[in-house]
Amino acid sequence: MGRQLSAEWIKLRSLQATWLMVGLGVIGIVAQAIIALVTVKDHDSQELALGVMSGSGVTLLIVALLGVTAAAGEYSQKSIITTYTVTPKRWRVLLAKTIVVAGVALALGLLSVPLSRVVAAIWFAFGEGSWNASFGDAVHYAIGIMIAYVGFSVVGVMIGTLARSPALGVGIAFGLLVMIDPLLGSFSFYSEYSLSGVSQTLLDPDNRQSNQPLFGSAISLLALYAIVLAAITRTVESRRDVQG
Amino acid sequence: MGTVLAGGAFHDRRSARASLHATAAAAGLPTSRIGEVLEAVGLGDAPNRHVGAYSLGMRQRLSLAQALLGDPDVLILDEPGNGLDPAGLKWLRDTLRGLAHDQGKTVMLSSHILSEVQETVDVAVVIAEGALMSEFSLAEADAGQHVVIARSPKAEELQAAVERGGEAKVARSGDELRITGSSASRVGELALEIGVALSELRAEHRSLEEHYMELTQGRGR
Repeated sequence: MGRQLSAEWIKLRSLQATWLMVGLGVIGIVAQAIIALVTVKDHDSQELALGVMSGSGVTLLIVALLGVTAAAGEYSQKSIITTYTVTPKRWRVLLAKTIVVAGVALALGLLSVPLSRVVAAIWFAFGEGSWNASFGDAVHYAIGIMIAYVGFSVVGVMIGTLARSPALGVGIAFGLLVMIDPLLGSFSFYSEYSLSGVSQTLLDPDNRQSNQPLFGSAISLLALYAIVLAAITRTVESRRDVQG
Repeated sequence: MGTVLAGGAFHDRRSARASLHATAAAAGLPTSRIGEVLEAVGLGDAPNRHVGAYSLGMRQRLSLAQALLGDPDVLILDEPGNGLDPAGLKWLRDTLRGLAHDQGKTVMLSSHILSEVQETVDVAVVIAEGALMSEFSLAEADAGQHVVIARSPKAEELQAAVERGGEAKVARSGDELRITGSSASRVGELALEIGVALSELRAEHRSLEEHYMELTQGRGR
């Protein structure tokens, strides 16, 4: 498995698109913090600190799209033929790719709260306000954000593997995560199970709305969705032709 | 075993070196070979260029480099000549023959360009509709299957002389004889013995394509 992980990491890091998306993800984190600093009136409140620390929805979408493009790009470029020739067990390739993309998403998630805190510190240094959140709050947010980013990156890899085309995969992921799921989430029967509800709970756990799942439920739901999608992807991938 | 199963199947936005690096990592091969194989296929001066900027021929060379990464004893190449210009085809032919004859590797290649195959390989295997039709040495096939063309004002006399030997078959059309089962030198000797002048004498070799068509009777479409 170490070989596949190494190969997938080399493949991911050797594409400029990866670093462009990581850069956009970092910008998303900074933008989220700045938006909270600009919009929250009370600059000494806990509300401001939590708003600054909350995870970026843009970055969440970007890690999902990173997964989509990393997986689908291999098929559209046909380099998957080489990959499967060297590693005929396709599930190993899928697992390695998922772990590597999830690792990048985890790194972004790990960076989110400290980077937001730095942005706030710089903001406070040039204006008024103070940080009003505990270390426990920061850990809570960091865990939620990391889980959300990792989960959505896994979903992205699966969508990309199933779609086999970056354009189609991005379209599906964008349509699902930005349009269909939030739309369905507006209905009460689905809102507690929606990916948008799950992401809102994980990205901003202390501001959970009544129609969103609890923190633990959100983690379980995201894990369930990712595992089911991974199982479907593995089954489909093991049965279809490489160039099908 | 090294393979080129889909020549040019590389990510356009990845460099040649990174592409080979990923393959070497997945196969557990030393990365020190990357520079060697890129040099061996003539891509030593462009290892960091994106593959998307490569010509089709350069991608084929990169495919061969990838197949050579593990210094395999056996190479299996699917249509390795696709997209190569005449100079590239000659390079490929010389390289593959060098790998087989100088380095002792077994090189198997599949191709629909039979004239190129004929120039490259020692042994041909004909497969049609999934069935093995024939396996033969090109040298042996050529020796046994060539046709001698002879032209003479006294073609009838020469035909009779050739046929007296019993082994050769002769087809005459005007002053031209098409002789199978004999050699040009033997026909020349016979002409000299019976005092018949020749206006033309040459051996016409059958192409692999003709051999293939005869074996498969067009079934390989």
